[in-house]
Amino acid sequence: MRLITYIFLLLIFIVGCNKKNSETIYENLQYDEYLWHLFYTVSDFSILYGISEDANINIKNAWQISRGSGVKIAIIDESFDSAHEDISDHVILKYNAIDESENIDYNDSSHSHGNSCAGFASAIDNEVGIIGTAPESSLILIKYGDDDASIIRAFDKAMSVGAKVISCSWGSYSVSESISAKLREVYEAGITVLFAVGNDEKSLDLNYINDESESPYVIAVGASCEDNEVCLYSNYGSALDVIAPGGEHYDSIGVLGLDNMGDDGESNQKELVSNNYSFGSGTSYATPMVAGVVALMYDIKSDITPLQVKQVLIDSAQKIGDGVVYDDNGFNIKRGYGKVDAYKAILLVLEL
Amino acid sequence: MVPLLMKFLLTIFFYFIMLNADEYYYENGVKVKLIPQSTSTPRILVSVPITQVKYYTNHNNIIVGVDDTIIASCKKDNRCIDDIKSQDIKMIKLISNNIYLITINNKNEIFNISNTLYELGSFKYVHPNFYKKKALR
Repeated sequence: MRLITYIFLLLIFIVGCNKKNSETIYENLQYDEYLWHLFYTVSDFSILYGISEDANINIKNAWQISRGSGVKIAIIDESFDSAHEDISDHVILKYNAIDESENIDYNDSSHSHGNSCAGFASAIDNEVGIIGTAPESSLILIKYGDDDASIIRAFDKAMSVGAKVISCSWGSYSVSESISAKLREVYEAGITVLFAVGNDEKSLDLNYINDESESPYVIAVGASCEDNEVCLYSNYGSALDVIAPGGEHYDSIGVLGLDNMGDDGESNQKELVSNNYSFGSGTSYATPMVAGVVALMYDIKSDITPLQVKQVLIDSAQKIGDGVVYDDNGFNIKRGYGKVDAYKAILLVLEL
Repeated sequence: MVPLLMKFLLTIFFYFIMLNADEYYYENGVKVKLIPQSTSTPRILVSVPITQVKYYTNHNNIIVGVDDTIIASCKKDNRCIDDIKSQDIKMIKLISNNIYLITINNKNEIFNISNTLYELGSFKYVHPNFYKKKALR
């Protein structure tokens, strides 16, 4: 009888330990109450900025299954601060696609864009700042140039060093044939590429627009807002796949991401966070969030194809918008197939 | 009556010039015209000095820059290197699997050489190495 009691107590202890581990994943986060895009927190902040309880991408439960361990995410962007406290330990490679050097860091304090993108995907689960959607992933940071050749080099480098996910928070509205061909090549190599659809509140279906995000070989990401609706600024059209939190319409707050470190990062702190972080908005930030969710998928199933990734995101997306009509395929021109649901996506991957 | 006729003839003349301008390239096998921008076009690029680049408006109504470089990809099993070498070029660099960055000697010939190569039929695509300002989103 005593042995049975000991075994029972031991089982309770083991279960307790596991539960504690799962609950402490992000409990030490410095700014957790502002991370409405990841999970809801009851606070004055949430009330003040009209944050819906459902505005997040339901990632807490997904992290119990996958944290993107070791999956390489490439961020192709204008410039970075690769020494930032919340990503530096995740950066495994830096590449400048203009001069083929390792010099990717900013030389203008306004350039925190690449950093923010990297953080939304992969910010470290530590006691400072924020957390990315794939908090155990690795980062490949690539600086692009203005010409087609540098974009080709950027994608080539990401492919050659083993990136499984490539996040692009930019666009030209005019894709060259060489870039279109490269996007197809990357897709056929089993790598998932995501593009932001843009923030100009316009239809990408207009005849004169030929945007990177419209390629059939990428996942096109729009922005949802604090009220759990599509953001007014988010571009739209038949190529839009999913939306994810980008934040800030109707003078709300935006999403909290990385800024440059120190004095160079002094912008839009709202007197809530340190200079190393700032609130911002746009489809730019929604895109790497989804890239992180895709990294969680690759962590579970390393041979998942880009086509499967897209289908999983589509099939698991939440249909948001009161009274909004989605067609028979579950598609809405402004919301795509809906807002990303990380947990549901992970569950679908487990069934593949 | 005469001024009106003159105006009409001039319009026809400039329209004819536009239609027959050399500023076009091939995209997916179709000729795409480019409209030259004036020299006062604001600098839109972040990594290239304006003096090295000529600006045009393309069919997507986007300003693109062109310098002395061309991007080309050969059709499979096709020896297009010889075709490239037959042109007045300064340098060929393989920048990716089967993608070449070709630097030419005379940048005024950029469209002529690009189009000549494409019309040889040994390339999947050939077009100027376009510079476009990317909008951060």
